[in-house]
Amino acid sequence: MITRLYANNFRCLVAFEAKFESFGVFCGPNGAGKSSVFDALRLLRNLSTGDAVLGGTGEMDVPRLEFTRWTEDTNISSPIQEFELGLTVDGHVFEYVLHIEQKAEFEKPRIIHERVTCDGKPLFNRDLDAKTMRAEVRFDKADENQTGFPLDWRQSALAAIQPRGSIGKLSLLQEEMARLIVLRPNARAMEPESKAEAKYPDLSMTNLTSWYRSLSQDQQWTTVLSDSLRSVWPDFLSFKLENVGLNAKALQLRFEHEGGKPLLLFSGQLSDGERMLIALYMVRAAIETGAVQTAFIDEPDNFVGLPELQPWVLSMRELLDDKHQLIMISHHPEILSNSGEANGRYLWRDNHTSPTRIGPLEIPEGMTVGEAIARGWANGK
Amino acid sequence: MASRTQIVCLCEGAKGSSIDEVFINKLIRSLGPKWLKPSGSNALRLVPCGGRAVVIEKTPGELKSCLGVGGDMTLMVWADCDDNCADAEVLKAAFWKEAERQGITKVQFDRIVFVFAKDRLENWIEFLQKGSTDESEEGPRVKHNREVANAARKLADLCKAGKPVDGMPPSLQWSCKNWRALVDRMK
Repeated sequence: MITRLYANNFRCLVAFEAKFESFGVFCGPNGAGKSSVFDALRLLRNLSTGDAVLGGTGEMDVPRLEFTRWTEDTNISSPIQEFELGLTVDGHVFEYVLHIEQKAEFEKPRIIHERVTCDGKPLFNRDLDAKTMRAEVRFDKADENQTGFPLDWRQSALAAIQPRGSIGKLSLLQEEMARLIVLRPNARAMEPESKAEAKYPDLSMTNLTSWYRSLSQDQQWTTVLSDSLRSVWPDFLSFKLENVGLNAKALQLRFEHEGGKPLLLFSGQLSDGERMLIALYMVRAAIETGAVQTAFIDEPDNFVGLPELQPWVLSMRELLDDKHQLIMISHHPEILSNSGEANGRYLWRDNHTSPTRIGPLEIPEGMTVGEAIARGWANGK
Repeated sequence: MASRTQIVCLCEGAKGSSIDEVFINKLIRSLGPKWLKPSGSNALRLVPCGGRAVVIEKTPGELKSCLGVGGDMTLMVWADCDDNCADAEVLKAAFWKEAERQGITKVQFDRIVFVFAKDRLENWIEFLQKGSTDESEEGPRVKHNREVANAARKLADLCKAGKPVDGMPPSLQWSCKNWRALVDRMK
């Protein structure tokens, strides 16, 4: 479970710290920095799993750093971004620290400091030596002597290191990071066909069918998903991956048709809202079966009809414990009022040249969360 | 396709870290009453009110809405007796007083399914997890929703089995009696 994020010099996040429980909802006005918090987590997740490298041109890579804009050309301007991530995994407390640097627009960003501790003890450490320009990953061997290996400074050591012997606990952190997903689902961008399996969904869930192909190899996941969708659509029967070309598969749904053959519909033939519901319940089934442990979802309420929001939120909440986590961003009164004030975090900025601030959501007595936010009467002090 | 809501549950919830919604939602869905047809995901609607006083105040209006919709619409009211109510009947009388004031008849009022915990649902959860609880003291705080949902599922299983259960706390017995009356009415 992610317990803490610290980010500095990342967009509007300046010396920003957020703490997380197993369930939470971020709310606040546009431009407050909610999505930036999720993007910082996505950056850390993708780098630390090796899905992304700094300065790369791949879809998930980080080609350049996005610094805090209003400090540019001032004496507090810095070419370094700092991140810290706190996690608890199987009773162990991990801290992951990452500092990345980009000195000029034309230069590629690089990792200048990376460190992991478990229960306060260092597992590995890595610093860029300014003289040699080498960034060696150092860790203790079982005999307490230090050892290490050089590593490309565009690449996270957490993703590269083999967790054995004295640093065996690193595998817990690696698995935890791999089972973290950060989503901003967009039903209109979800591709109806898939050319290959995808172990994890991308940000907009465009690869929904590819993720389905991967997850559906687990029969339990398929059963959980089908059962929950049957509670949404009582006439839903089952899924099928239909061959639609060379290596291409499309997701097909079977619906009951009284007195006739079942109705077959490809996911592309469903409405945006229906596709979104499939995506949301896929995430739910992934959490229930352990394929995903932490989900950060930015506005899961987009496209979804009002009657479906409360059932989905409650069906997610019942899965959460110290291993399973859901953090959402939402402006939707239905999500906010079904999440409970105590689980709300309010984010705000005083203006466009001030940093994001965060605090527990406070609502005036006798008012709903949605109403208080609409009036600007909610606060996070 | 979403169907019509057929059970409305008013509960305290809303403020603090309430477990009410997760427990109620899991319990009712696990019970899966047969009369809910077609059973879409919104067949059950929870309305967290933000405290017992608000639940009492809102109940008559909600009952009128439910009666107005017609059919087999059910209103369930979930609340805690707390220290200032001797037992469930005393709290029910407080609901009746407000309902009567807002023009509800006794026949209409008797359609409500009341579910009252003594102090908090935590006592029920303790009973469901350990087989015993002392309702004269607040049950231990439950940290995670997954525990809450598991306890609710267990209660639904006990209910569906229909066998007598030893050591059931009095407030749970009282509430189960009200649920069984609803089941009989819906036959």
